[in-house]
Formats: sequence, C-alpha cells, structure tokens
Amino acid sequence: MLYVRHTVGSRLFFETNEYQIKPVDNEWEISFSADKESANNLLQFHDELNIFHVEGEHQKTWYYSSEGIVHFDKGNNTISIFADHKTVYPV
Amino acid sequence: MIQHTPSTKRFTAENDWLVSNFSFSFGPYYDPDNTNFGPLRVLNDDIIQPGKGFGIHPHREAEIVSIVLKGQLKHEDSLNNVGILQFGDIQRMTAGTGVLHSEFNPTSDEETHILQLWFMPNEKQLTPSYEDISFDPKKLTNQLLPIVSTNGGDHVARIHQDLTMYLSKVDAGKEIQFEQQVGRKIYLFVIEGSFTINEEVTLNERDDARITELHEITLQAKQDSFILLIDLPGGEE
Repeated sequence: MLYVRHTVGSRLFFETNEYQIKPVDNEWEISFSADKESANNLLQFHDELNIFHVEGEHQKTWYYSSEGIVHFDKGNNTISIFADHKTVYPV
Repeated sequence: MIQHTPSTKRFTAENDWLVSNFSFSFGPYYDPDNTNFGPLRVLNDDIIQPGKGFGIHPHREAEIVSIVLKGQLKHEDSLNNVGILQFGDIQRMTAGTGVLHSEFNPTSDEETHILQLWFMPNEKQLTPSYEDISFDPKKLTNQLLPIVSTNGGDHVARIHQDLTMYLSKVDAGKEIQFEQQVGRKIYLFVIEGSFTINEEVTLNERDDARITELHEITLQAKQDSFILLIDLPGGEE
C-alpha cells in the first residue's frame, strides 16, 4: 500500500494499492493514478509531502523529494513524485 | 493588532490514549486560514495516557520543541538520543533532512501533559540534531525566562530560527512588560490562569493571542498565571 501524507500532522492525500516505484539512478519515481482535482490539491503541497510504502506489518519505507518535484500527467491522469530520499524503518 | 483565539476554538482530536488540542492546522484539521503565525506552524496541547504514546515516525524540515507540563515524556530517536523529560525540561529537535523518533509516557499511573510546537527552520536540509535543557522553575516567577532562542545558552535551547520562547509564572495582580522590535510579532499562549493584554483583551486558560504591530505589551495577571510568549520574526500577517 502507498500513502501520501502532509509533513505537518500526516494529513492523508492519497492511499492506493495501485502504484509504481521505479528506481532511477539514486532516486525513485513514484507514480499512481489521480483525478485532476485531487492532483491539483496535492500539487499545492508538493514540497511538503511524505510518501510511505507499507509492505507487511513490520516495516515502512519513507520517501520524499527534497526539491518537491511532483508532476501530473493530465493525459494519463498520473502523478509522479521524484523522491531523492529513502529510509526503511521498523514499526 | 491583537487576534485572540479562545481555547474553545481549537480543534480537538481524541482516541483511547490521547487527547490533543490543535491551535493550528494539523492532521485531520485543515483550515487554510490557520496554518501558521510567522514560522510557528504547530502548537499541540497533548494529554497522553500512562504507558502509551507515539510510535516510531519520521519528521523533516521542522524545528520541534516539546515542553512537559506534567508527568514524564520518554524520547528515543534515530540519532541514538534517549531521554526522559519532566517539568523543567525542554526538548528541541531539528528534523532537517529527516529523523525518526518515538515519544511515550513511560509511567504506569500518571498522565503526561505536553505542549509541542513546530517551527519552520531558517534553512532547509539541516543536519538533524537533538538537545534537551533544564531550567530552574523558581526563575519563572514574575519574569520572562528564555527557554529557547536562536543562539541558545546556559539553560536555553538553540533553535534554527530567529525567535525566542519565554515562560513565566505571574502572580495575581502583577504585571510584566514586553517590548517588541518593529517588524516582529508576538505569540502568547495561556498555560494556566487569566490575564489582560494592555488592559484591552482578556486571555483565559489555553487561549492564544497573535500580536502584530504592537511594540510594547503589558500583561496583567487576573489570577496566578503561567504563560508562554514567543518573539517571532515578521510583522506582515
């Protein structure tokens, strides 16, 4: 499952089990579908997003983009977040 | 200008181990007109039940200050800091590029009451760091005691922002003055008691006041009062 949350107080923007996380050099392109309104709302907070990838009950992976690089492809209704930070931690 | 927010206007989030009152947008509470006052972005007034707390979670790009009002708070983080704080202790954490931490009430029988404040840092991508300091509660009486500042010092935590946080316990009938530089602002939060600002506005327990364009304020305690005052940059809001 993938969760996209605000850095202040963890307000949830997206929760989806349909996503892609593609390593690109030392970064990660995280993509998922979104409608235009939700995407525009997310883009307002592009530099204050934490992305959590949860697989199983015992660990989470935290990603973020230090430069706030988030793109919305209107043709495909796809958001792509280009993360340059990744931390795996136990829960 | 003095913008007074009564405690009843705060958003309350509650579950079986936590009651939290948010003075600014946080978590499920989002008001685009109440996201910050200058660099101050969060003031959460939390009551944590015995043996409970916040499990491991990350932070970034925030200066986080915790003030324990009652009970104990156990902190552990990914920088290998472990500590138990109580009244008289102040914790400052620079989240910077990212830190993981947990916060628990380590006792079996006493609630923990804390204020947690988040500020925007004056620089991005800072190296994460942690500090806790202790102040002498006797020095709070009828004066503003600095507990956090830009430069830090003895019994004063250092923060990466142009601000100073003060605590004070003011006896009923006593006054304290604060002079503010032009172009700066003042945030006031009543921890206990009741007082007036410049004989104009009365603040009661857990109320706040967001003050701009006033260069001198006089706080007169109507009852024994415990206050938090923050001298913040910027005066435009």
